[in-house]
Amino acid sequence: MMAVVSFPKENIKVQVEKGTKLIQAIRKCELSLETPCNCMALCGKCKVKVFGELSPISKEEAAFIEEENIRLACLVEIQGDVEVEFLENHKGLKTINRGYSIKAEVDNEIINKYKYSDNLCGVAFDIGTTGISAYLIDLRSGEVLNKASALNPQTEYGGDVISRITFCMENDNGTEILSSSISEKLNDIIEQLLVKGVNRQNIHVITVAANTTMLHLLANKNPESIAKAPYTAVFLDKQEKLAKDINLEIYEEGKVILLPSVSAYIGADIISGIVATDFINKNNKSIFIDIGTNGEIVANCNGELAASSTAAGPALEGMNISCGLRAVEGAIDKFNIDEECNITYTTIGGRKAIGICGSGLLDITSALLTAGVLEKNGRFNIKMNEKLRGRFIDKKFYITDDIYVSQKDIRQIQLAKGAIAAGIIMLLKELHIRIEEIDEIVIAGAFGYHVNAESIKTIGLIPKGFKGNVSFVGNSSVEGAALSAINNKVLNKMIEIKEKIKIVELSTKVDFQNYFIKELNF
Amino acid sequence: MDNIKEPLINDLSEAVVEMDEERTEELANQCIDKGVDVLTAINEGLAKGMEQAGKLYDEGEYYIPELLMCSDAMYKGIDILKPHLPKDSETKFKAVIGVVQGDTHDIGKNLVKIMMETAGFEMYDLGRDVPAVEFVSKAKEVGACIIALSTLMSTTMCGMEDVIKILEEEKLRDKIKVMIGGGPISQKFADKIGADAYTTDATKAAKVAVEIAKGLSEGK
Repeated sequence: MMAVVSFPKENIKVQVEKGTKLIQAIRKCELSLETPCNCMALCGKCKVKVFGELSPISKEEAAFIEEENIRLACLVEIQGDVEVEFLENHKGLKTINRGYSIKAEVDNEIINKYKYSDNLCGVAFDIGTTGISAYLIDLRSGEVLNKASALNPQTEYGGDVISRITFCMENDNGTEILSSSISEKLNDIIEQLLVKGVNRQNIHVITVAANTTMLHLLANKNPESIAKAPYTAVFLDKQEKLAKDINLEIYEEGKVILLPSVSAYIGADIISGIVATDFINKNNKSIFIDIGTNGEIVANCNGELAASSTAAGPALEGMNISCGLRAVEGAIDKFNIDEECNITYTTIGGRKAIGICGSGLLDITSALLTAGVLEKNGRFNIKMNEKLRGRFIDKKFYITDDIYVSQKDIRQIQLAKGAIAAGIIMLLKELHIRIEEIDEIVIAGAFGYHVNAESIKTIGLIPKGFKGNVSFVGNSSVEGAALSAINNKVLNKMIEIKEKIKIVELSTKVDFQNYFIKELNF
Repeated sequence: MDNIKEPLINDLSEAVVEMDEERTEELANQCIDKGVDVLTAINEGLAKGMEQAGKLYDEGEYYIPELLMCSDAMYKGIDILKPHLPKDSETKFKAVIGVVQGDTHDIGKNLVKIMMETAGFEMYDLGRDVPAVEFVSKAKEVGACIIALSTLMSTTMCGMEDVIKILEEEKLRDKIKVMIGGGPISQKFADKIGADAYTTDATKAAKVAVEIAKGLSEGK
């Protein structure tokens, strides 16, 4: 028995077997809907408005839905003809497409290689699990001609690397599907990057910085082993391929260079970032952190480098949080409570608040702690200030009439910040230094750019005792990729660094639990 | 129970809830000096305190650090009282617990183990990254009625299904029940692989485990 699923706004109709899950119908039409938890019915983020004959609301689904006709695409089954409308808030992710980096000269070695072509260009990519950034570079001058960014289309198949790897394991051709999804997107981005006088044929080289899983998927290599102990990668070394071999459309003989990674969880994006920002040459004691679903931490103790990755979970990206959102328009990104207990906040794009993104969550948590609404152990303080008390209903603190943080949300933030802080402490222990001795913390990643340094200190994401400076470098990974396209010494430096960094695997350490538990408190 | 002893038992509970290791030790020693029944001191004192801590955790009053500190206090008390237990004390329900193969994240598993121990189970902890077959062989060896499986990663969830398959092959499915939990696990997944129970956290897991074990023993 067949049923018709229509998408009036998109003007698309599709016929499917009755009993089909709505998400499958959406994918069949090649429409995009993110399913951060890979359809495990855990995150409730695949809400759509749907009318018609549908399966009854299960207990599991009921936990996520409040409004009529709003259903979870991953659970609801089509029983007859239905009409689907997408909700507005799943569009327009803001990615930061700039970063701080050192200057590198164009080296002649590269130019000489291509001396017979006129317009000599390259493209540098940073492929993040969530967002992609790209630069078009004039290889002769080293000038950045254009920049572009986009959402990683693989997000539809899972929000984090683990759920994407699960997708590869559970679906025949899963790796191929994700691989072509990313290469198609990169081709689109290249098209967007082109400027007057530059066509695809002028692009001779592409450099790619990304985490280890994203590199595997681009190279069409099954990343399964990355997500199973002992967490090994299929490849870590720099890879050089013909662009056409991974379906990237540039100059016929054009090359793609996948930058080297250190381990399954310390990828080329981190190497690229610490080279681009010259973190590797700091002659003090400093820490580089890339905050995301995985928090990658590199410590530099007078030239000795060590790195760890810690499973922070998606809370700091606004996921797994009741009113959490990624950094989209309308997300609360800054928040403050002043001494008179007045609340102020801003939203991305200045639009009406529709939820809270990662930086907003950090600000909110920090402000609630400072105002005495939250206790050190993460519990809401029932003796909070009278002026704020009215906002506290049923273990939820309301920021607007319908946006709140719950006790459970605060626990998720504790887990995320506890993991990163414990990671920092244990990494420093490996190097026999204490947090008090650290001069500087460098925060990288698109996420970091919105973040308020005081907030992350107050909530203890940076362990207590730190007295140095915090700086933000933005997307340093794409910067490093750009430098490596114009300068071979930069590329060689990355290869050298890959061998030099000591990896400290936290999850197998016996005392991780003790440190983690200690760092859960604010 | 006479008048001096009852407050002692209540104090033990309170010391556990208040995460006070030293006081718990002190009170446990007093129990022995004053001849309080050791089993009562453990069950009505220490375990009850831990149960109370679990309740506070459920209500959002306590979080993982508090729960672990309470359990530290409880174990300090148990270490003192246990050697004085009469040899023929009642046989406990037994359960095997561990993190499935391919995963090394074990904090969730450790919490479940504590709460199940509190609920009266004798726990056999196989640790982390444990092959499916080892869960079954251990359960057979010790006569466990429950296998409790945990994982934090969706990539290793299939190890849970493997355990159930082995139990089926060995025709043990009606004797040994399987409980699962962890970040990526849902009721939907539990239904799919045919697990007997899924719970969202440690205190609920302990409650469900007791029901399952009782059901099994009454069924016999």
